[in-house]
This record gives sequence, C-alpha cells and structure tokens, in this order.
Amino acid sequence: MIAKKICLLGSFAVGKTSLIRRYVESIFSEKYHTTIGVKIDKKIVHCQGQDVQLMIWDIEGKDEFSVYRQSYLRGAAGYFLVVDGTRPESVEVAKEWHTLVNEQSLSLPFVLLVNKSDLFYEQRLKEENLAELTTMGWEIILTSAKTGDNVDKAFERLTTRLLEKS
Amino acid sequence: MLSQSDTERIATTISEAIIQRNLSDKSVAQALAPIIDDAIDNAIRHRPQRITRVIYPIIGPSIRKSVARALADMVQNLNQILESSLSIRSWGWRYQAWRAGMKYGEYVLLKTLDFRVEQVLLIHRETGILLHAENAAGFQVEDPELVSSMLTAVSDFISDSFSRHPDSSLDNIRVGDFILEIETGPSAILVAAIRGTPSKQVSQTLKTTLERLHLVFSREFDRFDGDRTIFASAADLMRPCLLIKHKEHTRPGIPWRALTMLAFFIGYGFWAGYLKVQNEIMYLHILDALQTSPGYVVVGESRNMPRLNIEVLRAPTSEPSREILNRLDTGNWDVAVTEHIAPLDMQEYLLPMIPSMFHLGRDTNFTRDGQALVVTGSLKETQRNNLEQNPLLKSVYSHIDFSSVEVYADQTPEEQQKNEWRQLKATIENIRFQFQPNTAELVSGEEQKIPALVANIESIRSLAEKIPVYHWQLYIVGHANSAGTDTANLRISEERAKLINELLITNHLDAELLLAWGAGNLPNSRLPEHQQRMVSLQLIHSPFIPGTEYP
Ligand SMILES: Nc1nc2c(ncn2[C@@H]2O[C@H](COP(=O)(O)OP(=O)(O)O)[C@@H](O)[C@H]2O)c(=O)[nH]1
Ligand SMILES: [Mg+2]
Repeated sequence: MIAKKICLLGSFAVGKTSLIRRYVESIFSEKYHTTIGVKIDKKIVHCQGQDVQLMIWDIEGKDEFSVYRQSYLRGAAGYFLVVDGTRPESVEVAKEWHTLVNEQSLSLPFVLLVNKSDLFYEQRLKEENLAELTTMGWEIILTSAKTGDNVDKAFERLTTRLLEKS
Repeated sequence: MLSQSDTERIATTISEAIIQRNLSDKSVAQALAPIIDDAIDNAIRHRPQRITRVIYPIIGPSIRKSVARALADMVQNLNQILESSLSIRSWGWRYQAWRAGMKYGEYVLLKTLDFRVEQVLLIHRETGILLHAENAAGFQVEDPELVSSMLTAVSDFISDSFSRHPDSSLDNIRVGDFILEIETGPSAILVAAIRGTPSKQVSQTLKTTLERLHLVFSREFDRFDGDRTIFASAADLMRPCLLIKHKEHTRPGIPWRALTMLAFFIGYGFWAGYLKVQNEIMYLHILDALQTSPGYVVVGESRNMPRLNIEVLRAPTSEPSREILNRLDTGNWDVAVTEHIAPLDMQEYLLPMIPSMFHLGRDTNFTRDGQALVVTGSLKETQRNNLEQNPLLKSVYSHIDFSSVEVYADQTPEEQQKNEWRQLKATIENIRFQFQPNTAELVSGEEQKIPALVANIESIRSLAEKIPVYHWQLYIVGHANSAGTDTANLRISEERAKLINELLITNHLDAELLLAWGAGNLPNSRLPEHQQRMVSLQLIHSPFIPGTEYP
C-alpha cells in the first residue's frame, strides 16, 4: 500500500488537532488539546481506486519546539493550511507558512481549510480575506471539526492532489 | 614533580583554598571556565546519548506509550503459555517475580534470555514512513508504523539540535527493560527492538545490514513516493538481525534442600531486618544527643556498622563529647567523635563562610553588630528564608537583621505577569454556570458569578497588553445532559452559551473577544447528569512570545 506523509500548518487553536481527531477517531472534544512537540496519526484513505496510508503530522506552535519545524516538513508529500473562520489574523499566519514552505523550494500540493464553519453566525472572516487567496489559485474548503462537515472531503481532496502529483 | 606528601597536603586543603580564593576574586571561575567548556563539548561529541536522555522526556512519552502497550501484550501472551506449567522451578520463579513486583512472564523472559531482538524496522529517513518490518516469531509491535514516524521525529530533532556534530545521531532509547537500538544511514534508518541487554553483536549486525540495504535499494530510497511493495524483498536481508542469545540453563536443586534454605533465609531476613531497624534508631539517637548539646554543631558523619564516625565543631567551653557519650546507650555502635574546637568567637569565625554556605554572590554582604548578624546588599526571597531558618545561624547569632538589605522576588516582573495570566486563566476556566432542566434558564444564584468573571476578564485584557499576548478569545461553550435527542441537546446547549454571551456583553465586554457555541451532550462526560446542564469557559490565546507561532 502506498504511504504518504502530510502535515497540518496554521496558527494556534485554529483546530488542527481537532480536525485530525475528527478524521481519525471520529470524535470532537471541546477541550483545547495542547499538542506536545509532534503528534503523528495514521489513517487509510480510499482514493482513485486505491488505498493510501496517510501519516498525519500535527505540531504545536510552541516556541520551545522551534527546532522541530525544520524537520517537521521534511519528506511531506503535501499539507493543509488551517485558518480559523473567526480570526482574520490566522489567515496571515497561514500565508507565512506558505511562504516558508516555498522558500524551502518545496512546491507541494496543499489545501486551505477555513475551519469552525459551524460558527457561521460568528464568522468574522470577510470575503475579501479569502478572495485574494482564491485569485492566487488556492483551493479552499470550509470545514468544521465540531460537526464533521467537509472533514473527510478535505482529506480526500488532498490525497487526490498527492496522487495527481506523483 | 610533587612528592606523595605534597599531593596529600594539597588534597586536604584544595577545596578550602578554592573557597577562600573565590571569596576575594573570581579568578578561580575564570581559570576553570575553559576547562569546563571543553568538558561539555567533549561530552556532547562523545556521548550524544546523554543529551538525548535530557531531551527524551519531552517527546518520549508518546513513543513510550505505544511500546509499553506492545510490551504489555507480549507479556500477556507469555503469561498464558507459562501459567499452565507448574514445575518446581516455575514456582520459585513465580515467587521471585512476585517479590520483584513483576509479571511472571516478564520474569521468565528476563531469567532465560540475555537478549532477544523482537523486531527490526526499516524506515525511510526523509519521510519517516515504515518500509518494512521483520518480526521474531510471536511478537508484534502494536503499531510499527506510528513508532517509525515518531522515531524519525525524535532523531531528526536530535540531529537538528546538534547539527554541528554530524555523527551525534541517536543510538538507542531505553524503555523499561526494552531497548530500541537505532542505526541511521544516509537514506534509511534501521531500528531493532530488543528485550534484555544486547551485546555489541546487535549493533554490528544492524550496521552491516543497513549498509547492504543501502547498496541494494539506493535508487528506491531516493525515488520513494510512498509505494512500499518493493521493500518486501528486504526481508531476507533483515532477518539476520533477529538475533537471540539464551542464558545457560541450570537444573533446579533438590526441592527439600531448597525449601530448608528458603525457610532459613526467611527467618534470617526477619532477624536481620529487626537488627537493622534497631541500629538505625540508635544511630539517630546518638546523633541527636550530640546535635542538641549546647555549643555543638555536627559537621559530618559516616558509618559502616559497627563503626560510626562523627565530626563536630564545638565551643571550647562546651562539654567534651567523651562525657556525653559515656552517659549514652550507644547499642551496637562503636562511636568515634572527631572534635574541632571552635575559636572563641564563633560569630566572627562563621562570618566569611556564610556566602559560600548559602551560594550567595557578591551582591549580598554580611557584617556583625554585637551579637547580631547584619545582611546588606540584595538577595532573593528564598535566600532570605534560607538564612532566616538555618539552625546553625540561629544558634550562633542572637538574630539576623534584614532591615538594610533589598529583598527582591524570585521571579522577574515578566515571569510574574505570565504567572498572573496563568492563574487568571485557570480561575476563569474553572467557572461553570449551571442551568435548570430543559431550558436556557440559570439555576438561581448562578448569575452572581458574572461580576467576578467580568472583572477577571478585564484583568486578562490589560495583562494581554503588557505581556504581550497579541490575540485571545474567550470561548463560551454550552452543554446539555444526556436526556433528549442530539439535535435538541445541541440547540439547548447553544441557547445556554448565548445567554451567558449576552450577559457578558451587557456587562460591557467586547463582543469581538467572545465566541459562544453549543457542544451538545458530551458522551464521555464524567460529570453527574445535573451538572452537565452548564456553560463552561475556555481562554484561547497566542503564545507569550510575539511571533512565535509564525514559522
Ligand atoms: N466550534 C468549533 N470549535 C472548534 C472547531 N475546531 C476546533 N475547535 C475548538 O478550538 C479550540 C482549539 O482547537 P485545537 O484543535 O486544539 O487547535 P490547534 O491548536 O490548531 O491544534 C478547541 O477548543 C476546539 O474545541 C470547530 O470546527 N468548531
Ligand atoms: Mg494542536
């Protein structure tokens, strides 16, 4: 079976760990699970007629682990940029991550997830926050780790992109 | 060239000499600094494993957990096999295992094996993906794929941290009596999971195997795109790594003799234990008698039954130790007291020794005022407490005068602010609002929690600017108990959250900082049903150091 490493990148508390838990274990907890260093999960996706083993790397944005970040992306086949729909500033962090990945001359497939879509009535991200990104050709999916909305779809989309690439 | 007696003389005075010199200037430290630097450098270069021991606790737990789980499974299996055997030896082992607090299976493994390589993992270095695993019969690591990824995360971390020394890669990790021996090559990593104490042979075999694997698969390693089929053929190369070495077997003795011996040892054990306790009590008793004699300070002691050496510093006018001992029941101890008669003026004598006794720098100075000890300069709060409570100082000086010393808190103002933040955060997150059944109506009295909460949030807000925490939000999360449908629970929990949200906004909190949502009923809640009708709070905030969440 084919195996691929993917990463989730994004600001604090945007829901990276929650998205992985929702996808891998089908659970959501309202707690903020501080990830210590790196946490790795795996799940098999069925995609384009074949099974793919995803190794999913989650990282904590804590300063003490900054050394991690260089090796975190090493060998990744693709990644998610995660932003929080209630926090415009999280889009800036996602852009920074994107720049960093490109600086490492890694032109990897990625998908931008606008998470916490269940808080639609609180959604504070403006259309223009995302419009710029769409024009840059970024693929955007609205997700909710809480309701599970689009979570499976997001992982399937990224996997498809990975397979197209190789 | 120094003579033997010279060396001896220096040996006895060297520590005092260093202390004395250090009091007058810092030249000792300056002289030693480069030597210590070298020593540390050396240690990193030659013993990188030591460093991993320091770092490992940070990231080790997750690895440890999966390995421990796998281990528990294995021991479980073994237990079942062994449970049925009832030989004399097995009973002896059972007893030993029980005494050692181990599972029987574990103990048998330990007794019969020097070591056994249970599993070998071939890992792609770049991605951390497991390429192939070879198992010893009957052994299965719970999840070799996760273990592989985590190991690369750990070893990457190590080599990134010490990249100046390219050969300082991770060699092995010890997990209980289980060792992961790690051999890192340019494109792949070979890991052996070993029970017991491996000989050099294991790492040798790993090394040569890894070299061969690189030879055979170098192209495949480089072009690896996730497809692992080809690596199944690595099995033949990897199998020789599953080494095993048995201990020599000894036949059990005649049971009767063994049993008599056992009875004897048990009896002896009790008696020896009793004596030991007796001696311990007596020892404390002797020490106490000397310590509490007027004018006495015990400065050292060593013991080796029946010999007990005690070193004391005593005032010239105090009673000689001989007389104290004569009055005392010393039990089985043969006590020898070395006496140092203190100079007449203890108060003066002790003065220059205080800074080194309490690890104080040159910021703190000591003088005498009659019978009192006067402290000037500055010192930390804990240091002050140490001085204040020290029995020696108490017995020598009439009192300690701290009136002209500047005492500062142990924490910097920044640390204090961060602690304050953590405390406020904890206080806020401990607040829960309870609701009446099936409604978004508060249990009466609950609304009285609002003013204190608002005050706390205001404090958080101003702290956030000082620290700075450049972004934060307060999550107001509604909950429902398990009665009712999921949709109904979700709705009611949402209404509850919104009610609290409204209450906070009417109390002039900035709506931008608040986020209310319902979590419905949490299936795994450990709270009693009636308490599950509630709203809880969560503070989400950026790291303390601005910009650190950026890559
Ligand atoms: N309402 C809602 N809350 C979410 C969602 N995803 C995450 N959260 C909450 O956001 C907080 C941070 O989530 P977490 O996964 O730990 O963020 P991370 O730091 O990116 O890993 C937690 O309180 C989660 O319960 C979502 O889709 N909807
Ligand atoms: Mg996380």
